Amino acid sequence: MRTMQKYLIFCLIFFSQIFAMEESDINHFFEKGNQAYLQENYSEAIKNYEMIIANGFENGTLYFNLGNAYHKIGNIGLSILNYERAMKWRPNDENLLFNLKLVNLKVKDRIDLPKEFFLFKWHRNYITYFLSNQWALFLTLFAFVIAILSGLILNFKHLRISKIFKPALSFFIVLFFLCLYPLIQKDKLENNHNTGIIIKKEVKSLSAPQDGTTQLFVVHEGTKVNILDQDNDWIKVELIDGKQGWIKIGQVGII
Amino acid sequence: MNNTFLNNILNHKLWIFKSIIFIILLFSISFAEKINFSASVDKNHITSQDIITYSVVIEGAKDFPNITKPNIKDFVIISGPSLSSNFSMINGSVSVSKTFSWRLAPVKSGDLVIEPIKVKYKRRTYTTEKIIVSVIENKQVPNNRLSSKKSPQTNNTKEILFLKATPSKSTVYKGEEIIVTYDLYYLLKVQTFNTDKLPDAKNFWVEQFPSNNRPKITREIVEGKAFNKATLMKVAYFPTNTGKLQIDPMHISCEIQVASKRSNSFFDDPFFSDSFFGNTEERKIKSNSIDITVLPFPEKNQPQNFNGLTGGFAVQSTIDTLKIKQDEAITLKYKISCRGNVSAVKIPSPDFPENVEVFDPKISKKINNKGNNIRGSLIYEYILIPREPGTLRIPALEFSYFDPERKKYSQVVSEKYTVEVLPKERKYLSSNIGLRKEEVSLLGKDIRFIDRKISKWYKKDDSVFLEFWFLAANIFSLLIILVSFGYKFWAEKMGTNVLFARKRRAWGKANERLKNAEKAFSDKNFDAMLTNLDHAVTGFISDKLEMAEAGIGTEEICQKLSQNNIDSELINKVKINQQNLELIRFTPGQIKENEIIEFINSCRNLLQELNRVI
Repeated sequence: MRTMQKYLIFCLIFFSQIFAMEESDINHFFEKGNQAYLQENYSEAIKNYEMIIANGFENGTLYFNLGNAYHKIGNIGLSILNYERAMKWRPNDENLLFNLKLVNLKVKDRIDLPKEFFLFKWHRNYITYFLSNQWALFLTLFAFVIAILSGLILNFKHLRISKIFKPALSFFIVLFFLCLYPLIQKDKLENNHNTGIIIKKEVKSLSAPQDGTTQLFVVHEGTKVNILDQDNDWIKVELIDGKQGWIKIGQVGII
Repeated sequence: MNNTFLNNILNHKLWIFKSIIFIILLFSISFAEKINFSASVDKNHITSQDIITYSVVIEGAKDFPNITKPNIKDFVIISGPSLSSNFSMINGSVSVSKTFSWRLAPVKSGDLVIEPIKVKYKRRTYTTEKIIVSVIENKQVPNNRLSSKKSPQTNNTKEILFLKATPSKSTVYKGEEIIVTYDLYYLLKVQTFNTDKLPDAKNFWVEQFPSNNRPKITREIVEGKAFNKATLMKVAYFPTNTGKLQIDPMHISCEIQVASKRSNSFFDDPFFSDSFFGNTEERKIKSNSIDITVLPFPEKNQPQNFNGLTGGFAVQSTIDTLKIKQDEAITLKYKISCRGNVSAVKIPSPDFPENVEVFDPKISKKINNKGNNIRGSLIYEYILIPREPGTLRIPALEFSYFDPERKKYSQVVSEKYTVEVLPKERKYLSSNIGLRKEEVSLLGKDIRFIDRKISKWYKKDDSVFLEFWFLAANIFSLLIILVSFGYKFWAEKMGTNVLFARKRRAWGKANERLKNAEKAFSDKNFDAMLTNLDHAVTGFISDKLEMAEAGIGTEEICQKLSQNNIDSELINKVKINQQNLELIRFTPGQIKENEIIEFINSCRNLLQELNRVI
């Protein structure tokens, strides 16, 4: 029995290794997608890019290219959705921001928000300056330095250079927390899927998660919504101006 | 002319003036002596139970003549004469009148005559008119005014007291109003009444008219008896079902006054009676039930939007503005005046267009039940918020109802409105109108080209907090900190706690001594070697077992070891080892080199064994 189990586990690991795509395969799909895009075969490009996502890999470049491809075939909703997803990796990328702005011109429901308060803007820029794993890397480094320094302070007091250990330790502790906060915030931003983009041409928002209830308002493709709640096939969305309603789950792409 | 004449006289002869004054006064007095003398009754048509007031008025007499008791055979005098006088002075002329009145009760029925009264005054005879009063026989009450010893209290209640329910209609359409009047008929005075139970009306909507606390009393003859009739209550019923329906009886209890036992009992008359004089008795009575035939609405010409409204309706609509900015509220009011069952009326809401947000209407109802019918008004107040600029067409409120009086359907249509909706100033969410300047510059531009360089791939949906490298590295850092703390703690203990430090250092010290012994052996320094070996074993044990280091014998060591539950075999080994040590010490030169090496090794083995257990 034991040996059987061992074999089984071994086989599982073996096959999972076979079926899981290697990075080289992903790169292959990515390049094939880029090639198709160059030849203006956008649907083929989309197919290749989506293949990578279906295998559980992603990055900013992929979503940016996919957004471009959807834009080329005129699918505004999915184009915006993918640009918004790309924002996770490259929030300050000029090309991405330009393309997103351009596509947003074609959205029917236009949302102009009042100018953001400068402190909020600074706060947002600070958090999104690095990706969560970059913040994590800094955090780890600082944690290591803090560990070494505290070890030295505790056990090597008599060393001559031990005088500078304490100020150095406080400095690194400050740096540690300056990384911890944006790390938590950025991770929340990246992994809380609570914003979405309308991907159908015109979506009727109902007052309850049920067909045939009162229609509250109509939203069009490309509009950004907050996702508040879910009930089976229905999700409750909130527009930026505060209106709320229920729409079918397939009508919204979650960022 | 008279004045000049008078003046002439005044000027000439005073006595003539005096005599003339006298004549004038005499004349005027004789003129004032003329009196009016008349008689009247308050009612001419009465039942035999009733009482009339007979009054005689004399006007103008200075001192009134005696008036004799009227000679009336057909009436008895209940009270009187009562006298009232009236004195008035107008423009210096004094007028006086006196009224004598009697309260009379008839003794029989028919046309009764009150004979004129004659009075003599100043040698003149004055006569009143002859008065005829017609009296109807009232059989039910055996003339209780005259022979009232027997009171009717033992009579069947029905004969002296009953409640009658009278419907306004007996055949109605569904929802049509039926007004039922509840009248109390009674012969004896009713002190109070209480409604015990309102009628059960299962298939009806009931609306009550306000009841009067002091109902108006009229007389009505029922089966030849003159009853007092008081309308206690009026109730409107609206049938909610069709077919033959019944309104159940109403139950009331009332306190009636029964005749008193007093011999002088004119006052037992219902109009006279007073609780002070009589006894009261409680009676429970119920009204008749009412059968109603309810017809369904006629099928013919029934409009599509008819939903069962019955009665009469009219609608009046108002809107607060016809020009508004987007996202601002419009108030639309419908005032529906209706006749019929106001409480149950439900008006369908108009078919508002989709580009306007409509809130549930605020409904206020006013029911007017003061008149002969139930009527009232409903106000539906809608708040509309147009969500798109342009023209907003508000359709008319339309509904139909059945008018049971005209027996046909009617339609009510309100006014339609067209509201101009202006775009709002600050746009939050709107259709694609108007781009900003910078946006216009973007129009017609193409998107930036794709990015072709391969960047690092990430596993989808992996939180960095769960990644291996992150966890491992941070746990490692944490371990460094923990170890540093641990080491610091240990070092401090070693520095401050001698016993602890000895224990901790015992093994190292013993090994060091073994090494020294081996070194001494290779230097052929037997004494140093033996001392080191001895210290290695005894020192180790004493360090570990917290004993004084110097001057301890084998016996003491073994005792301490056995106290610490060490295996006796191992204790023996220690003993033998020490004996061998002594043997080597005291027989130098006799021991071969290889035996000494063996001994050093056995010492090392012993120490290892000891280290395992202590």
